[in-house]
Amino acid sequence: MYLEDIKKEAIKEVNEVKSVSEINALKVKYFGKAGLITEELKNLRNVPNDQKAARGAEINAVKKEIEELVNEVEKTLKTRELEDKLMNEQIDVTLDINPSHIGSLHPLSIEINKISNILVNLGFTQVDGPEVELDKYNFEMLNVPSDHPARDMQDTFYITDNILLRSQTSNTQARAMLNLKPPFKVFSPGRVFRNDLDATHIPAFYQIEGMYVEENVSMADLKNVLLQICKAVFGNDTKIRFRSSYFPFTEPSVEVDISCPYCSAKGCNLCKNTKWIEILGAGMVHPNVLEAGGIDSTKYTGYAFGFGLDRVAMLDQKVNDMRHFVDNNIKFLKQFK
Amino acid sequence: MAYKKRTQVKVLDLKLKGKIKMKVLYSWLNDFVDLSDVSPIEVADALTKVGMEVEEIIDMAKGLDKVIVAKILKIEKHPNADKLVVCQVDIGGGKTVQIVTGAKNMKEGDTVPLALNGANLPNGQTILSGEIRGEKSEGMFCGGDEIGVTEDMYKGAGEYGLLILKNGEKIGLPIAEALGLNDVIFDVNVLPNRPDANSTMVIALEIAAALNKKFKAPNLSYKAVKGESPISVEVKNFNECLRYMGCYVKNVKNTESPAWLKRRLTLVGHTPYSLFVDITNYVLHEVGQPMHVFDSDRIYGGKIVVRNADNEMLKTLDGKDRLIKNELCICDKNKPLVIAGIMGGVESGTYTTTQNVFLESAVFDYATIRRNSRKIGLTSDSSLRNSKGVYFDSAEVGLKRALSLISELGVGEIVDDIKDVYKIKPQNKTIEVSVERINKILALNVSGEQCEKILNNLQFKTTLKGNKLITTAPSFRTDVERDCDIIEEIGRSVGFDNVKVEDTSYNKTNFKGGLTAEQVNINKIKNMLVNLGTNEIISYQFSGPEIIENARMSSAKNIKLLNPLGQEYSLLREKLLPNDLNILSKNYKLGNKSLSLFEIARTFETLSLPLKELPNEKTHLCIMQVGGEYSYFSLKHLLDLVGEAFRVNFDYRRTTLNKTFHTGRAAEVCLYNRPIGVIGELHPIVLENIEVGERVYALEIDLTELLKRNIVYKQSGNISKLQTLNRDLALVVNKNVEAAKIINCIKACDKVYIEDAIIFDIYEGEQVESGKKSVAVKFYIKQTDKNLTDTEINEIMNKVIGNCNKFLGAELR
Repeated sequence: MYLEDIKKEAIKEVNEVKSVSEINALKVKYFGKAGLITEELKNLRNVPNDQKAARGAEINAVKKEIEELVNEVEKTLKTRELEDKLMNEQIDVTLDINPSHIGSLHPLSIEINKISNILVNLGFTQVDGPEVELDKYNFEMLNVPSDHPARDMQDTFYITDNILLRSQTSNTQARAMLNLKPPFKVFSPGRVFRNDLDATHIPAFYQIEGMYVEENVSMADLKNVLLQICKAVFGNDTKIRFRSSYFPFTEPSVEVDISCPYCSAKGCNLCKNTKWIEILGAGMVHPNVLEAGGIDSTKYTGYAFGFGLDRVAMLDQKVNDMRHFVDNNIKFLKQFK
Repeated sequence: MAYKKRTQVKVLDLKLKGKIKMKVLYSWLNDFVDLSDVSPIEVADALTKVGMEVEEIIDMAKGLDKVIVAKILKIEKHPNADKLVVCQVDIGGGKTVQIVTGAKNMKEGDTVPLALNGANLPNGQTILSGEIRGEKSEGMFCGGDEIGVTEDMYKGAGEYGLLILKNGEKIGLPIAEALGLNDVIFDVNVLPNRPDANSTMVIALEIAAALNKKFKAPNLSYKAVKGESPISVEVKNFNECLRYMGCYVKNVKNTESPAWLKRRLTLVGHTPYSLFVDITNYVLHEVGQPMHVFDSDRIYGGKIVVRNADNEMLKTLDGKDRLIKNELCICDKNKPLVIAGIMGGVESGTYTTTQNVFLESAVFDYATIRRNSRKIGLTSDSSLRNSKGVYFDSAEVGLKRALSLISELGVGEIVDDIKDVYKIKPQNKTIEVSVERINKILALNVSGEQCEKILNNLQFKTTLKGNKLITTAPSFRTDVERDCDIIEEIGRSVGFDNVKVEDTSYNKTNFKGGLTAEQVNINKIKNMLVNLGTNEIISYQFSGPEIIENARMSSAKNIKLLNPLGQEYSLLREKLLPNDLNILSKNYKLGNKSLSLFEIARTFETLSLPLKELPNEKTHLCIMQVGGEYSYFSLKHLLDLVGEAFRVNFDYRRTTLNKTFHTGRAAEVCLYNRPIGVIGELHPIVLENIEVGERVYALEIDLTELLKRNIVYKQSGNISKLQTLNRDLALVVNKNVEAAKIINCIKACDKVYIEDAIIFDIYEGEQVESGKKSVAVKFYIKQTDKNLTDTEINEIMNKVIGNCNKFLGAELR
């Protein structure tokens, strides 16, 4: 066979090949021990010396051409065969066979974390105190005299005459004052207890209190910090309003309202069309309280504020019933992933 | 139409969570301050601003603007209906209209309220002209209930049918004007530090000061006759009765009260009774002094003795016979007549037949009254008022105001022998405060003169000396004790809205805030568990014996509350699990059968009951799992991961003694060789108790040690470039050899090179001798600075095999 015919046949055969095994067979046919090209090369020894170089080059050129073609086709076939194999391994990519899900933090934890972070950014340091507390820290040191209505058996849970379930997180402030020297800026989230159970009251709820004592602390400082907190929780457009009020541990005392976050202060059911929602109590720390904590009230002044966390969470997370927080219905909890 | 039977509308809900809600009448306020040029809304705003929040404004005339007084001229049968009549009605101004009605209780010539076309009645009904069965009708006659008038406000208003007007009301006049309904009720939320503001008078004073108007003091003058009171007064307990005033009034006419008085009382929520009782209620509401009126002829021995009872009986006005142990009572020579400050007795009360009375106006220690009221379980308008604190001078103001009304109404002869018994008269405190300090704390800029004026308007006797205010609070302001109270007066008067955020002083310490280390760790655990698919729950700190016993735990050591909300809330939890199982059970019963829940919260432990000192509060972690995808091992895995995050290993020591858990599937969780909790599958009896029909896995551990750990993130050594090698072994051991033992045994062989060991298969069955199991272990050999030689690796391997054989009886398979 002439070299030219070998080449033609080879190109034809390679182009007709359908599988990697066929191409392997062709490789043997042309380049194997007794392959056509191999034979041609072997036959070189019979070629006259003066023509050897030219003939050799000729054969090698054909060999190279066929090899390249074979490689190219082989590569294409291999790729196609791999793809075919992968196609056969097809899975249902929409199928879900693992039943596990991520869990959820309790909405109250979410709100505590949110407000705690805001306070930390505003320079407040967390302090902690016991939930079962001595009368001294829950009331006495906080200027709540022994027969104050707030101490009434109706409101506070008692264990003994002197030991009670804290009715406010302010107990941590009382303790903090004894341990810290002014200036200090502390906050305390925690659960508090009141003897109350109806549609709008649960006997254990969360509060977050903040307290700042330094020289020259004023109502403007208080308003400033509360505005920043309320904006961070309810949005940058939030406005706050101070109304005169009474708490035994602060004087002056104020109730703080925020502009209704539901209706953007247009009036709605939630704010009873008043455009304002009562959100927290605050005031300048009563000098009696500072003095009970061993702080010179002529030198230092301070502010204190306290959020009812459950109520804030209700507003912030649009929860329609406070009792959801204690019912722990998994369908409710899973909404807070 | 007015066919329905009238229902009594209770206007006043006196007690609201320790705050007294005070109803004040716009017209009544006008007795003390001229409000003719101020709208009710402006009044409410002014009060709210100064700290007396007006929660509701009730306009009594609302809905009555098209209701007038009309006279029925003629009544004829309706041509097309048996039960209706057609009336010709004079509506004043010479106009007559035709009204069709089904009412029966009127006759020609009667005057009645008539709602005209377009009236929007208080009950929501809209009245339109139209035809009723072919006869034109231009409005509707009204009954008392349809226009908000009760029997106490107008005699006959409670009767079935139309309200027949009998007091010569002018035809054509708006009904609100004719019946005195042109009035507004303010529902004021009085703060506990202002007991004095439980009076129309003090609220009027606050309005006057807020609006810069003149305050008119109440009329305290009266005419008296010379004489001697047949009743003397002795106070035996001055600690509980601070002042007792009394006055004898003879030849009284204890009739029905006049309409104006009844109207005022009714609108603010008192039920009129008889004149003298009504007067005491009127005084209570007007000046805030609780009073009592005795039939003086029933005070045995002519003597009032204020003393503590000694197990004596008294039939109180609510009709109950009560045994009074040692509470303060107002007694005659023999027996208690009244539980002091709380409720009177039936016997010495006043009736229409009463001829002579003795008026009591006293000041009791508020704590005593609160305590007694609670002990006896009895509250009244008086006890509520008395337990908030009545000031010393109030007794006199109240008594004189009552006498003035008696005098004005001419219903008795006041004998000018007023009894007044007390031991100590409190002195008003004088307080000094600098204007500078006021402005510094309030961040305001109020002048000394302005402060002086504000205080004087509030009846503080005030002078300004240089930069200093010297002020004496009025005797009713018992809340004012020191400089900060004066600062508050200025603040609330100027208005806290005037405090500007920009006035913050910036030259203060720059604080770097932070969470407690414990909180950081708690958050870390919570976030991990959430990411691992568990849902956080929050249960109550309270628990109950039944819930605890459901978990087969004892409730004997739980701390008890003195005043729980109920059995279910009567104890403090010592463990989280019982309450949490309750939550799991509730969810399960609602059909949520795949649950992975956790709680991190405090528990309360004490060594001795009753409690002498504060209990140990320990933060616990409880995790519970139920559902097909969970097992003991899925639960343990969660805990192991928590341990890993805190770089500790928990040991699990089999326990068969915990009654809450499955006898064969429970372990004590140990940290640093000390038990910190328990993990396992719940005991079938517990599952039965909580009514869950599947296996539940639960753990509870004390987090105290873990939370103390300070996890520092830092590199602890060079990272080796060499591969970690691993080798597998199949060991045959006795069935009861625990996995942890095998792992620990292998790890202990070479602490330098053996990095970790895991069990990847356990086989029991035909291929293995009975009573044995085949355990496939993979262990990892760490290469630090050089590649280990085969000899070195074989050495380690042989040691592992040798030790496993020696300590565990393991044979290679």
